Amino acid sequence: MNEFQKWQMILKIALIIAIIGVIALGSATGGKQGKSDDSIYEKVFKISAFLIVMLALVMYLVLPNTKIAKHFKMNESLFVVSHILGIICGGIGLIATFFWQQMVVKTHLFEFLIVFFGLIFVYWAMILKARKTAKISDMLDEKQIDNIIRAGAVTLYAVACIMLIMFFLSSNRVFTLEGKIWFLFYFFITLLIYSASTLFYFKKT
Amino acid sequence: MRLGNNLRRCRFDHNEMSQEELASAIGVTRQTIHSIEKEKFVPSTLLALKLARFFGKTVDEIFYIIEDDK
Repeated sequence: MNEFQKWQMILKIALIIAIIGVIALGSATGGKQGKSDDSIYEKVFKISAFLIVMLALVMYLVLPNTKIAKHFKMNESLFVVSHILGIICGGIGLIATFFWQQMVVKTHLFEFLIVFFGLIFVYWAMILKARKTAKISDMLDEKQIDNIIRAGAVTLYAVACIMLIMFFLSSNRVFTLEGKIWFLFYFFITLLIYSASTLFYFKKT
Repeated sequence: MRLGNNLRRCRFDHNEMSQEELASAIGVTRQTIHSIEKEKFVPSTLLALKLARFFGKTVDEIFYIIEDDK
């Protein structure tokens, strides 16, 4: 397959996704009233999430096989930016989970933050695919891997302690996290501590 | 006991090479070179050999053991 054919294929896939998006949007906003419990916000959210996931999947499948792949580089900046993004997403998510528990679920803030953070790792996956390797150690250097291992250990112990404290607070009704908020709290605290400690070890000299 | 090194001197002897240039030539990040020079990170045998080969020296011309005072 030459470069022209590859671009034709990309355009075709993009067109199919766009058509699916338009049909999905049409069926979500139109149709018989009262048939679904979803609000318009809910429908738009679901369609947007579907389109973003599809787009990421297509980019992952197609782009590493094109000439653009030459420009895919895993460098120090990308490593730092990925973890800064982890700190931002984890921090925002944690604050929201703590103070506006219901809002996080209703507005799908959790999913938005995951998508935002996840896209950068789609790029990591694209670099791996372009290099035709499945080993992340081929992409990072030994100090970065060492930093990740240390950060993983710190995260494990810190999160275990924090969750234990939260459990006691919750048991004594000092502060409670309702239902599935427990998972969101766990997810964001892990993301925040892991990203912050990786960056800390990476920058520590 | 810790690992000392002459990496900084080797860089300067090698046309005053920057950390960034050395990192790029070896295939690691600038932060890794910086940490090795500051003796905060002990490189693997493979990386030590790569550095030695790059400067045309033996490993023990670049890396040496510092005995701690007891």
